[in-house]
Amino acid sequence: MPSTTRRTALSVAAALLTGAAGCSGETSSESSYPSESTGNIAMDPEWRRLRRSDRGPLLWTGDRPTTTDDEGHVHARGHFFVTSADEVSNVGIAGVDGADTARAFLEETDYDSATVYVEHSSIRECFTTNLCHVEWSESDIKTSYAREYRDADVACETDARDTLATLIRIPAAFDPTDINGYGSSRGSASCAVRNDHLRQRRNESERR
Amino acid sequence: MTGLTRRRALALAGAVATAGCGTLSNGDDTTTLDGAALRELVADGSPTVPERIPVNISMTHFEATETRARDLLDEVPANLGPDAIPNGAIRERVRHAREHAVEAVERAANAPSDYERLDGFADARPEARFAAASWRAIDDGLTRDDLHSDATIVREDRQALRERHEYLGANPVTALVVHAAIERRLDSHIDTNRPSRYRAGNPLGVGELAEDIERARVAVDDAEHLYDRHVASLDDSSTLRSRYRAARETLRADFESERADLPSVDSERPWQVDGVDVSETPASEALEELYRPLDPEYELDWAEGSLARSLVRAHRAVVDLRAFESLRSRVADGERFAIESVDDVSAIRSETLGAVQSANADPAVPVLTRSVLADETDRLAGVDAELADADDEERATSLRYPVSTYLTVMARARAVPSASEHVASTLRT
Repeated sequence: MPSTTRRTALSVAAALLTGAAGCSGETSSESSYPSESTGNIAMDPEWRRLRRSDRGPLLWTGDRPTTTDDEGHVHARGHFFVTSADEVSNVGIAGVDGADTARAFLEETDYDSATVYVEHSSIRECFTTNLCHVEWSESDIKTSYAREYRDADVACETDARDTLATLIRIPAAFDPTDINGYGSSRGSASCAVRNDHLRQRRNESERR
Repeated sequence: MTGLTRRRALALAGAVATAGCGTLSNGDDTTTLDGAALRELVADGSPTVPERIPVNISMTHFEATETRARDLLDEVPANLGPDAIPNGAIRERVRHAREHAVEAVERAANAPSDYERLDGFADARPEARFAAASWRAIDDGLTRDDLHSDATIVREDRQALRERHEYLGANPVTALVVHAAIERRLDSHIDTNRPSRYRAGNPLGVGELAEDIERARVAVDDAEHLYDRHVASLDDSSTLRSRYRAARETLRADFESERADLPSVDSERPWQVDGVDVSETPASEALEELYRPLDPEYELDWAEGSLARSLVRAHRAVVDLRAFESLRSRVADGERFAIESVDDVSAIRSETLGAVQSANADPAVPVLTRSVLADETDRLAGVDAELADADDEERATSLRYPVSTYLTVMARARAVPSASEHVASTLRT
């Protein structure tokens, strides 16, 4: 069982996404590969998704942020970790489709062997993303998504944007206190392709 | 002048896409040129040399390909709205594909030569099919699996043509152009197992596969027509295969010997000439571009692959080699090609236009020479289009790349008649 002293109570990270800020457009792809080849990776981890069509908060810790708050926009791009069952009760979830599933996902996680990472992002209304993999180390965490069109019968406009929250069950218990680098990339290549590229890059760096 | 041809559009796109490369100069970037004067310079347009093929394409074939293109367009409502396709991004993709295909069909219908007309419809049809099949997937449930039989038929037709294609011809030079055009179409392929860019169930994934199949379909149909018309025009049906193979070996040996005669070239700095500094000038860009396909380390081995196409590549390689050699000599002789005024641009452009006109009038081997000039005049038009869009005060450094393209076009135009004669005489030997 992991030490509760190592695993701090609740780590709220309101830092803006940094790793892929320059290349997280709808069609571009790929932020840089983390320098340390010893980083951990989970390919196709379990995840759940919430979505809303305004900038209001989807998941938060502590008091519910107000949507008129200047922080609202920041919140939409923020992220935090849930590292114990006790912390789950401190997580607020907006009343959107899938809220119950998200709550159950948090409650059913075995925090002795897993950590949930919650990441917010903004996306064009007609698109969605699939989580391909997550990489993390003691200081950094980075997610990779494949962008896809939503179904043809989903009514949406090209110039509108939605907020997404992704709950990622990372299959390892770890202390996120020292994580201060957050990155995310997305592109039009499928998860199979993106995961293959990652494997190739890691194989190459291991050979060096 | 007719509308923008596909090749011209591509050349323009290339020129624009790489334009930024020319702005990276760290030299004196304070000199500016009068944009209005630059725009005036290109106002009258430039000579065009349409791509042609020595085959009499039948009216029936033109009608069939045009009808197919227009039928595909008719399958898609012109005004797709949210009721038809609620997802705005998918709707936009289908609508844009249809609009592009409509424009491509109109360009094809007005193309300056029969061959460009044929190519124009071959470009328009895949995009029209993308729109039509995506829409049918939404409206009528068409799936990728439904298209597999179409793909199989195209593959079988292509294989059948490959098996009966022989290098027939009375004149080895004109026949070369025909066989290279056929090979280009037979070298296309469709991979129905290629991973889709779209997830299962996305109608655009159906459009994507249908587009690939249509591209292959039109390629095979056009190749078949060109071949049958070519063969029908022949009295003598002897094969040129062994002649072409021998010519390829000879041309390769000649090319290597001619390249070995070049003064020593630093492949990292092919513009470097003893005692002359042309770095950061259009001449350095032009020499680099001309040398790239000649670099022994990176050149494509054109002595392999489809026979007629490899001979066409040999012709281009000789053109580039001689163009590089002549431009380098001019630099060695002290010419700088520096851009400090509109007059400098004007002088280089005029010389380029003169070189193109002179090559086009050269009577020696027009069928080979003009196939190169068709591409080069497209590039010329691309640069002209860029200058037509010049800012009121255009930085001289930002003209480095466009002017370097004038230089490469000029050098190639000068080199092409002798290269054509060399290739033609080898083919006739």
